[in-house]
Amino acid sequence: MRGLPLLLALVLLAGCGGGDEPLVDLNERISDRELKAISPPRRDDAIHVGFELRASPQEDARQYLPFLRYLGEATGQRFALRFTPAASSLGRELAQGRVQLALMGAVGYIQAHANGDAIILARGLNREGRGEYQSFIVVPPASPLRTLDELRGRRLAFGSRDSTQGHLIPRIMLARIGIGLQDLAGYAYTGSHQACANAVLSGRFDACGMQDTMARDMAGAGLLRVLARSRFYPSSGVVASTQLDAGLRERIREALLAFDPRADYMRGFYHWERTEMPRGFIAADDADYAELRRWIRRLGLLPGEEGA
Amino acid sequence: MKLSTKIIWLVAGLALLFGLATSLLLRDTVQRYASESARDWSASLVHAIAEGVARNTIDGNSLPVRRQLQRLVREDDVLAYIFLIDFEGRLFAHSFDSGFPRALLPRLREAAPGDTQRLFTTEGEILDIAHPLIEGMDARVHVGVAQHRLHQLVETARRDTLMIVVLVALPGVFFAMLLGRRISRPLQILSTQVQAYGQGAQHDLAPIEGADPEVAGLVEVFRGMIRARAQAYVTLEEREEHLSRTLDSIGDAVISTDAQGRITRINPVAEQLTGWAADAAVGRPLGEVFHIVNDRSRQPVADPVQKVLDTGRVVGLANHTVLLARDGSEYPIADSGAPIRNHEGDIIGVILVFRDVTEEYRLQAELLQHREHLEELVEARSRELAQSNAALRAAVKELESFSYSVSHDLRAPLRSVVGFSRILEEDCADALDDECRVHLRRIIAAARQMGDLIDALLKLSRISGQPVQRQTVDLGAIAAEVIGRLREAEPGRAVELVVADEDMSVEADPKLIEALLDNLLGNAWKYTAGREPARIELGVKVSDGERVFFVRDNGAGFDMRYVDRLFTAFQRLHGREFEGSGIGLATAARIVRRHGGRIWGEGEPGQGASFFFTLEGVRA
Repeated sequence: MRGLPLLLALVLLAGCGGGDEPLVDLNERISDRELKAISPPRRDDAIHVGFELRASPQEDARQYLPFLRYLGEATGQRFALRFTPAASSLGRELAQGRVQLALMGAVGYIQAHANGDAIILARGLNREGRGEYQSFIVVPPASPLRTLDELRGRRLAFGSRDSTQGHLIPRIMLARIGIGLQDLAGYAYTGSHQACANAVLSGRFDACGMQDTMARDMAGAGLLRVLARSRFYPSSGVVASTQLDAGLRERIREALLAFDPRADYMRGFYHWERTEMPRGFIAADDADYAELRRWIRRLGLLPGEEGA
Repeated sequence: MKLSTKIIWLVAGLALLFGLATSLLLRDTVQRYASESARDWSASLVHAIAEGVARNTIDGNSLPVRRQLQRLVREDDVLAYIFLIDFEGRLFAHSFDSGFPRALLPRLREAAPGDTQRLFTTEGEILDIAHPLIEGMDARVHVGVAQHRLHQLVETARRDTLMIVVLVALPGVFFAMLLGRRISRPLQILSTQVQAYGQGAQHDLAPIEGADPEVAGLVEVFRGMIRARAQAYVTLEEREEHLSRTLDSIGDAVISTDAQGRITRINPVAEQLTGWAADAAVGRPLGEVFHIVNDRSRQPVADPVQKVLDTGRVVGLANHTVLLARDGSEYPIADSGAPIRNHEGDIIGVILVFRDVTEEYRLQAELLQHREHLEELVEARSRELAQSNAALRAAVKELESFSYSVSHDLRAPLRSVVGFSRILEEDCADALDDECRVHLRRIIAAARQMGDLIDALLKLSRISGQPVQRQTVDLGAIAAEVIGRLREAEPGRAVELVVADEDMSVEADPKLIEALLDNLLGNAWKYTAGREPARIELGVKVSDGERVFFVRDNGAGFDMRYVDRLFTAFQRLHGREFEGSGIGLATAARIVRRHGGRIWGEGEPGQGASFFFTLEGVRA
């Protein structure tokens, strides 16, 4: 009968469940004000890289976070991605010191540079290995439009107003043949290249001015037809805040120029070929943007200036 | 505890352990499954709202996010709460109507995307799962999943498991009772039988009906052991019987004791000598049965058993020990005691062997008398023999003197015969005719031959008379000298002489040995005359550890039928074609005998002869 206590213990053990953890009361609350007071924004030593949404936050993060990890390993710094809120702009983010580095187009750079907040470090190389890009004006495949001239009296969609490929270059294309916004039946800033294409696909607009890569892909898929192509202009680039340490800026520039999309470290990257710098970077200088700067001024896209 | 009870406890315990293990395993599995399901489900939820929420978060639009979160919580009672941490680590939006639970503040600060924590709240257990809003970025969504459904599930599983365990255990215990009884009953029967056998009430085990093969096998093993034991007992009895008969058959008396000196066995001879019957003697100290004293001093002799126990060695009794029998008789005895040891070498007893030496003593006395008488007889005979020897030596001396005198005295008239015959031949040659001159020359030749015979007899006589003076003699060297003389005498003969290239040194009289070889080699030289090629060999061989010298030739040989006459004086086996006195081999034989050796000959007519001889003290 010596086994009886052991068996009873086992029975009791079998019947037991759960533990004696202390209970917490979720109804004991603190106000949002108290909460704000005890949880200030986190500050860290990361270099924040400003980025305007291209597709979705998840998709963009998936594409660019590996690139930031590359920069971190190349420079010994930590880089964090910061999406630009809709109510702000990369130029403002740079000016306010929220970001120290930005992936931005010519318009944004010229604006920020004009404010003395930005220094261009490098420009992206497109699929052909050129440090330039162009814009396409696309129409639905069944559109009767054949030439740019026929856009007079039509509805034209743009991407973001600060976009180089989605606004500035299409405006330059129209201006060269003497078409101004006033010659259109209507126009709108949709906020992104994708939204611009959607506006045409949905029939809300007759044409869209958008970036060459996406337009080429969509045309290849039979969704759109390319009506006109612009000439090449200096592509988007990586811009640094003037507040950023000069030595660190130089290290970042070197890392950008050393970036090789064919290297082994690209295995963790996600569709880098869809970005604006699929072949890496070339050195950039502010003088590269002189022509665009003149057009921006003519078109009145610099804040505080009226266009022609 | 009985075996059947143990089996019941074992089965019940196993069933309970199985139930416990199953219950714990099931609970753990359900919990793990539920946790994983909650994680997957909440991840899907976050994924579904992520894009819109992320854009609003980027743009700082917390109000629509909060409304969306509250709506989600309202619509699903499994959701206890949702709150969102923005990219800068601040609480951006939550599903609570007013304020934020203080209990969740640690989750704001300490958690990271991917963390899970169980919270035990007053409203039940909640699994707090943190999902990243955007993979790789700091913003995260905390989803609180209420666990009441899980608990219901676990409770149901546990109840079902216990029910199954009880349902399985009850028949299991019943079956265990049956099984225990089935196993233990034959064992009990076997135990009872073994006990009866041990008490002598039973001489074998009966087969057990219905026993399992293992138990039946056990019974057979026991029966085999019993048979082997019985056989061993019989063997032991036979050995005991054999030992008893052996001891009873021994002519000597035997008493064995244990290590304390108490008698354990006594044979009939010992019973007879001590006057103690075995039944009375066994178990008694040896001293009570075996009284021994010195027959001269009448003092007790030291206990031999005690001496063996003390020394551990075989001991014997001193002479003149007398055993005093129980009836007062006395027996002179001789005995020995030896230790009896076990396998470990420890002394476990002593065996005492003794015998009555009365007859032995009587025979020894008689033998002593005979020996004294024999010595007297030998002494008388020796005296007679000495007298005979002296007479014999005197007779021999006299004979030798006689021979010498005869020989010496014969030489004088012989010289006269030869001398006057020569005078007659020289002075009266003219008066004698040819026939007379022939007769005269024959007289001279006969006289000379007689002279030679006399010389030979004298030599033989001298050999017998002079003492042997031994010294180291090399037979090879002496042979070489003899052969040299022979060659010198007859340089024209072609004889091959071979002397063995071996050590032929002996302790002997050199003059006699020279005479010996002179006779044997000269004999061979003579009888090889006319042989072409003639061959004479002197050699030595070892036979039965004795060195045997030999002289061998290829001469005329002899007929073995007359071999007995070879060494007799004046016995000649050949005609006048070989000159000789007939004394040479007799001389040789006498020399060999004087050296204590032997001589013999072997031969065949026309094939040569061999003469072998040994010399006393010449061993190989």
